[in-house]
Amino acid sequence: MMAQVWHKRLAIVLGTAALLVAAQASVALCAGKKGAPAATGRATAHKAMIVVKVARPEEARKTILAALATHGGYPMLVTEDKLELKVPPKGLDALLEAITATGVVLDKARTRADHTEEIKRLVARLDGRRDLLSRLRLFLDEADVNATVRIESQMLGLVVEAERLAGQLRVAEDAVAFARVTVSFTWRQSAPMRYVRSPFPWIESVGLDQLLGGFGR
Amino acid sequence: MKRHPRSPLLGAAACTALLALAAGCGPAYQVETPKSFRRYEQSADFRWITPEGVVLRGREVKNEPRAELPFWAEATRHHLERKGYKLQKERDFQSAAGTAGKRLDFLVPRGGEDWLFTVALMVEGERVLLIEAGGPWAQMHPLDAEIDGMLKSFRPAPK
Repeated sequence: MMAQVWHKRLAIVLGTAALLVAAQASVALCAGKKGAPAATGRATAHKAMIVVKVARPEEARKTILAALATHGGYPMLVTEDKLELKVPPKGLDALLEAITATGVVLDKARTRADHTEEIKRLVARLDGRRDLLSRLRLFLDEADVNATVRIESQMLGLVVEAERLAGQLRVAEDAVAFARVTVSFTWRQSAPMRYVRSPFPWIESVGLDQLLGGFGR
Repeated sequence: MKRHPRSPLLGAAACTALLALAAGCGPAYQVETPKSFRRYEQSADFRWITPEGVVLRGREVKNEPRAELPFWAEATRHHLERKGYKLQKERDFQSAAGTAGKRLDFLVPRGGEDWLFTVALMVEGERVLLIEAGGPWAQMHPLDAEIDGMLKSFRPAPK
């Protein structure tokens, strides 16, 4: 009977220790220097969207992907009329110039988001969970079976939360480490065409549909 | 520039066209025909088309309420943007007769394709002269300079 209890306790301790190691590894990975806000700068995520009309999409795609590789980036999505790219921020301007040179730019937008505070907050919360896990682990050595079960339950909750925070941190760090660029060879309206009235009747007769109607289309 | 009789509208091969935009009750205009376009059909206004289906139409409307070019250009731009058109380019031009004009180029999605729609306005007293052109982007974009040249060639027809 005693042997069975000790065997169960050992299994719980070993299982919890494994979880602890996994959580610490995750925390260590995310709290590393890569992507963390530099002491002197801000952690800024860049995004760019560009719609460019090209005569030969196939050639334009090749040119853009070659420029992307030159600047240390990689494609996330490549379709007939759309590219989603990731490039280190220092190569963003040069990449956008290369894309612009492939055709006629119809639309272009750039956004920046500051993730400095978010990353700091996530790192602090992860550090807190890691400290708590370390302290709980110390209790395991002296705990009986019932206490071990309670501690393991606490540690499981902490590990799950640490994993979630680590995931959020990875996303924020990746957004800072790589600028995202969406290239479209087709312009798509953000909202459907609307029927609107004008106070000037003749202006309502101006438009593509009205024009084509005069040609039987 | 070759001149043509005032009454009938011109045939396909003409390098200039005489435009009776208000069906005989308004002034006629003389304009250089864009070389890629051909006359579509006999009508009071003028309609032209390319082999690829880019179309061009000119007509007159009454300048009511009486206003100047900036007013009508802004009203047109505002109306089309509310419809969902995306303004691509806005440019001023001057016709051969010295009339100030405004050209607005819009991007319009149609049937899964990007189309271009251009509207040019000139105000002459009681009339607003409208020239509209439209077509798939790939076919119409190369005709930009031709359309521009046609707009700048507008002048009153000889009496």
